[in-house]
Amino acid sequence: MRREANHQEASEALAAAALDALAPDDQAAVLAHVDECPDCARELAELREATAHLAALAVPAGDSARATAEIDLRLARVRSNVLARAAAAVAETPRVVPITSRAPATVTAPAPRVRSARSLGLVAGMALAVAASLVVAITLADRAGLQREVAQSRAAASNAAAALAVSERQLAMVTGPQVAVVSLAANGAPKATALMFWDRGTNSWSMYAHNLPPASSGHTYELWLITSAGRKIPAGTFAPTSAGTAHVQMTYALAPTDLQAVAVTEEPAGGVDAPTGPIVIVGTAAGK
Amino acid sequence: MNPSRPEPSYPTQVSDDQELVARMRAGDQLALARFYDRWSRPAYALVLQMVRDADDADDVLESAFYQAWRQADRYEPGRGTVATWILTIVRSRALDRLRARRRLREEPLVTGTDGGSELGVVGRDGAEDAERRELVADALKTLPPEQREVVELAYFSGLSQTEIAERTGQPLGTVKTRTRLAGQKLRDRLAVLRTDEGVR
Repeated sequence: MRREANHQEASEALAAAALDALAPDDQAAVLAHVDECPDCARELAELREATAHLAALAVPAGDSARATAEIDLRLARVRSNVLARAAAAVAETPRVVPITSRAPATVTAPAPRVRSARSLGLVAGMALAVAASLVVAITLADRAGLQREVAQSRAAASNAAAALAVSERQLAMVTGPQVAVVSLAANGAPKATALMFWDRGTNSWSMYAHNLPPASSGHTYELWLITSAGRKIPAGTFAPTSAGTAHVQMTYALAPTDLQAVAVTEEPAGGVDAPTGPIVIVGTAAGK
Repeated sequence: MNPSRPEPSYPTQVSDDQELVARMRAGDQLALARFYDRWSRPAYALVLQMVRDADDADDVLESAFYQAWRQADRYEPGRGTVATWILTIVRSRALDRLRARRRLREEPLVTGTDGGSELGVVGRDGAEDAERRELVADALKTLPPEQREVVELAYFSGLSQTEIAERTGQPLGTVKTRTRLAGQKLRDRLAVLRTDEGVR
């Protein structure tokens, strides 16, 4: 297909374009035409909306508490990563120069020339019109600038509030009056350590791990809560960061005296219902 | 395992998708968090259906939502709903992953909407979502089987028309015709879902 498709070609290929089923060159040619053709743009938007509805079918039947918990953990981890990247991007983005420091607009006076009274009047009228336009333009620019400033200030305040809320929540999870701490030590990975904070009042668990090497190919780390009765409860899979750290959060109700130990094993990707792989780090609950 | 997770304790509730995107455009990370909470579950279901690997799905989801954050200023309400916008980004990133895998010749072809990844289920939806899913499924079922096959191979498996022709043994022109007819029928039959709120 040519660099820009004609109307007939593009019109016939819109459904395929909405499905991203065209070869890259053809997709570009169709989209180039769509940019110039309101009818095709409208039809493509409708086709895209229709095909986007197909996402609703991406929910296999059936249910599993373990799968749900696993997905919750994964979604929470991705959420943290996305927000961390967004925060880093905000920190790197240079701020818009405040309007108060913007260079003032200057008007250079033309060299004096001899003019007739009529032309002087015309010039004066034009100068007034230009001045009025400048005032309007500057006022509009200032208003837009002010709106940007207000939006940025609101965003900054909102970000600070969000960060504070997260910090307060994390602090409460490790310092609350009903928090028990389990220290996990290496069993195969010499330097790996972790601390599990269990808030028995809210049933929330938060584990911070350090110096974990990447799991071997096709494998993942899986966290286990081991009860006094010997039950091994899968608490989700996770992958450490490139720095070897990991933070796993979850909610699970367990009687205050039921915890025997916490362990991390290496398991096949996706995790398992009962541990099969080697223990990487493990810690025993206090008094056990 | 108890499926519940800690509720985010954020100071405000913003429910309007377009306002969330506008706030993301202004650099509001709280809006991004709320946007993620609203859309990550249906998005993850789609990604998982397409890439069939939980670790890959995590990467794709992160990449897609970060792209939405960086490109929030490109969203134009007049060109579609927020739902279409984010699901298109998500699907594009999933397609990138699928096509990269195919280039490495390591991707088994999985077709249709049956089966799933090792995680099995993502949805935790209500009656409204179930009703919508039923309507979309009905619309797909009313297509002739050969048109439905083309749509499923393109949408969920990320195959191009040329690849579909090779896979099904049909002439490319036939595949193009089926794609066009199927797209038009789906658009007409799903017009009832075309609301301000969009896809969910």
